[in-house]
Amino acid sequence: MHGPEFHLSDEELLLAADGGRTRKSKKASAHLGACAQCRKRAAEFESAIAELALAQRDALDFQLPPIAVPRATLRARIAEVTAHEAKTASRWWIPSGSFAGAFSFVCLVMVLTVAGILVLRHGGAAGLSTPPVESNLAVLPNHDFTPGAVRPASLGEICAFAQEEVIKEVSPLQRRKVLEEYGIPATQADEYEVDFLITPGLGGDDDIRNLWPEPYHAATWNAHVKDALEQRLHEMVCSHRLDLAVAQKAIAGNWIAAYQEYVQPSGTKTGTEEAPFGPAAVLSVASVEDEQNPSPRQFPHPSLFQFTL
Amino acid sequence: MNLFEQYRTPLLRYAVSFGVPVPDAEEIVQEVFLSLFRHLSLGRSRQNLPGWIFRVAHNLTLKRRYANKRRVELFDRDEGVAELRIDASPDPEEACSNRQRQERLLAVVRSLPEMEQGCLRLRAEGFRYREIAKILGISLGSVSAFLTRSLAKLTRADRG
Repeated sequence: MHGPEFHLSDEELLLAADGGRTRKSKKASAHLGACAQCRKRAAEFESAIAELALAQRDALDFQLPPIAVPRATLRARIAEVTAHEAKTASRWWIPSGSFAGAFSFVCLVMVLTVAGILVLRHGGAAGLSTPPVESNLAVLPNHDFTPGAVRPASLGEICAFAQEEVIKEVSPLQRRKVLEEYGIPATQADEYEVDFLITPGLGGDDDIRNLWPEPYHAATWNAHVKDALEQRLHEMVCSHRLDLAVAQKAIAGNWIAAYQEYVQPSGTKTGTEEAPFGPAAVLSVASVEDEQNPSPRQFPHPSLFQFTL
Repeated sequence: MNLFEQYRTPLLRYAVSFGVPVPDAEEIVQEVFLSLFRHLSLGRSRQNLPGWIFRVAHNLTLKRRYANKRRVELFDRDEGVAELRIDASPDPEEACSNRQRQERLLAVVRSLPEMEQGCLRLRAEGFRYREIAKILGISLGSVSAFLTRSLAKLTRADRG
């Protein structure tokens, strides 16, 4: 901020528009009130933003699909997640003295074993396009190149953010190095995503030893499945149901085996069981935001958060 | 109005503006709200949920865009959309002039570096500078510098 004979810099103009409470912001606002030239520049900035907002809406909004189907989809997915959670929780809660529980567990293991043998023998006939063993080999990293690497991070740091919030970019240089290391020719580079073996959300480092080329088009064990595992491990670690080091070791050792151990196979989900809390109950956050107030997006008291899809 | 209704369209617009096709953007929005569901179920902070939602959407969008490598499609799509759009203005000359001005603005925005685009688009969605800094994971000074630069280009284009 300068003396009265000067004008606000562009940066000061923007901060004044933000309406901050700092001394600098207040002085900038005061200057703005007294200086017609600065007000004109501020108006130009605001007008450019408003114009952009309008242009974006005009160009994109009309092609966006109606909300009904996505809302129904989300509702179904939330119901599925809650049913999954309930089922997984009950899976670990077989009373030790319950004969019926133990008998059911033994039966389940036997059925799965027999089914597994049949699937391995007759996978093609059963409609599996890729035998699981082969696909596993194709989508697991080479541990000589990618043993996994972690950064020093406490549980508090890991759990301060949701898994999805911690995403690091792989630099083009790192990407090239990883592809070279794995002997993937440049012509096939687009068929792979260079991904973190131990995800940053679980303390994975951006060291080359933690990066590997993950094929985009793997039929079964693809990046989406690994994302689900990462999400699951993060939840278990942060709810103190799994040690962080164990989770890191599991995903670095064999992420497919980790998926099979920690995430329920999708084929066994019914989605019909009653969830401990339904989407309508939890995912309903009624916002009473003041549409007339364009600047701060203040949310109401947490007790007002009711989510209706 | 609930969160999904309130933020679905801005989130779709944000993701699509980074070159992600509409179906993928729709999937990103689903992921964002599933994450929000988990976030709230685990009893985590409810402060500034719009900022949280956009931060997750921003990360997922960049990840998806990197995987898709379809950035060029967006440029074609924006231009195509501008041609298809029906302007309700009664004056054809004015409508044409408005459309050209909007096309010019969008072209300027598309030519900006990624961070500057992010700052501008989030500001256009009504976020404050401090919120934009948190969403993009950069300092307030950087947001201000990016916006100053990009707004100067925009206002020049608007005048021109």
